[in-house]
Amino acid sequence: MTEGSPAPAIEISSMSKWFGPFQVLDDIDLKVMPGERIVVCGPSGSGKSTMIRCINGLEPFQKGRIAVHGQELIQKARTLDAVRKNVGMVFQQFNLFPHLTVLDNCTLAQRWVHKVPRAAAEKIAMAQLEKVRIPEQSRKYPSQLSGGQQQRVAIARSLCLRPKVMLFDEPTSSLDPEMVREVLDTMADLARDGMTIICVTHEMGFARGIADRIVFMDQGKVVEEAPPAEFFDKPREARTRKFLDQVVR
Amino acid sequence: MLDYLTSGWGLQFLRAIGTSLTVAALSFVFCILIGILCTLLSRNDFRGSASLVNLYTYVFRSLPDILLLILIFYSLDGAIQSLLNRLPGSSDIRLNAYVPAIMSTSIVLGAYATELFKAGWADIPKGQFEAGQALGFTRVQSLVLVILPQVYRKIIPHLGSLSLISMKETALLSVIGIPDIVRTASIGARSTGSPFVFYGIAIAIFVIFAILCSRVFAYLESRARAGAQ
Repeated sequence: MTEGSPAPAIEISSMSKWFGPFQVLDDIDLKVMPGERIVVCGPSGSGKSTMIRCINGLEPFQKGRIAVHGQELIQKARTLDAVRKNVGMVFQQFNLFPHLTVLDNCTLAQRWVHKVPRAAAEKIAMAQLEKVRIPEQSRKYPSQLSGGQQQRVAIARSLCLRPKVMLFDEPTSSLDPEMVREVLDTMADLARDGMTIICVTHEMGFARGIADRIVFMDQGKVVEEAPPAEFFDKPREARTRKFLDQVVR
Repeated sequence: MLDYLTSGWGLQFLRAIGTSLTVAALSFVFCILIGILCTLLSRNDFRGSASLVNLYTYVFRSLPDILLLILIFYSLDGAIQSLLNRLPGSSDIRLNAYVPAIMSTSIVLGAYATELFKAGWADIPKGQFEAGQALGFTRVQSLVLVILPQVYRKIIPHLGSLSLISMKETALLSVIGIPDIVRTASIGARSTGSPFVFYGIAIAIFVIFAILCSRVFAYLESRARAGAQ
């Protein structure tokens, strides 16, 4: 590693994936530098969620390679654990643990995976809940919170493990419209703090405001990759233009 | 009735309650372990394991308990005896009748427990497993910390009935000569000629157990419901 050319946070090279005979990802190349904010968009079924799920090993892939902070992803328990320690993930359906309080949701992995003592874990959890502006709910159960609050807890839960990269898989898609803003604001805070972010979303306003680069996918391929100004104002590809006509009004 | 109880039958019944409770409690614990194990097996990638579990629950839920108990009891007893006889220098060991008794009730109840756990497990959204993975839990950690607590919350009302069934199942042990509550009552009834008193006592014991049990499970249920749903 020489100075002046820092190692990429995530490097995906010629990665392909099949579900049975159906190819969902076709020769994906993507390099994300530390601190970069990437928004991945595209029509449904374009493979964008599948791609980011490959990055922390939730989905296996059959060809190519993925490296996260230099650590190559292999479908072996030990290397997966090492990669997952660096990568946080936020899901469309929040996936909070319903049997635990908000605080316990945020401390469980700290205590069992990272072996942080309870008191210290709770302190870290409260600091992160503070950051997503929801500390007063720490004793409640997920079912007692609104969708937006639950998603902010899910973000805090990931941040407690001090990941170097955060993956967001359509984080606002199952929220009521009036709750989208609070989650996007939380993500914007995170972006300002210098977190490396890859976010699959249909929120084009967020993409324009926050992203360093937008990756447009269609039919399992990366069709176009450009900074937001360029992407929205003069897209190169016909398919990108067609997509933008449909989603941006 | 008091005369009978003070003239030695009281002590007999206390012993019998101890016996039945012990067998019931142990087979309850074991059948739950069997249920969890079989659920894991049926979720395993290995193809044969799921059909094997299905066969097990199918057979043991469709045949009469008493038939199976006798069958398992004698074959287990025989198997364990011949195993012990093979060990050098232990030919004179007599096996405690409770071992095959508890094993057979556990195996029968385990079939019901397996169905319970499988149903509860199927209710857990896929996202819960994925969240566990993404947070870096090992499979065992995710099982113990994330999945099983949720399965428990879903099936706890049914676990209550399972505990009642495991107590009732002990009545079958009288068939294989274990002095449980029912056997004690029938011996008493025959030797004193007062069947109503003795069977009445047995009935009272089971009813009291059922009431206590439902209290305990109502409490556990209310605790499990705290917030979660």
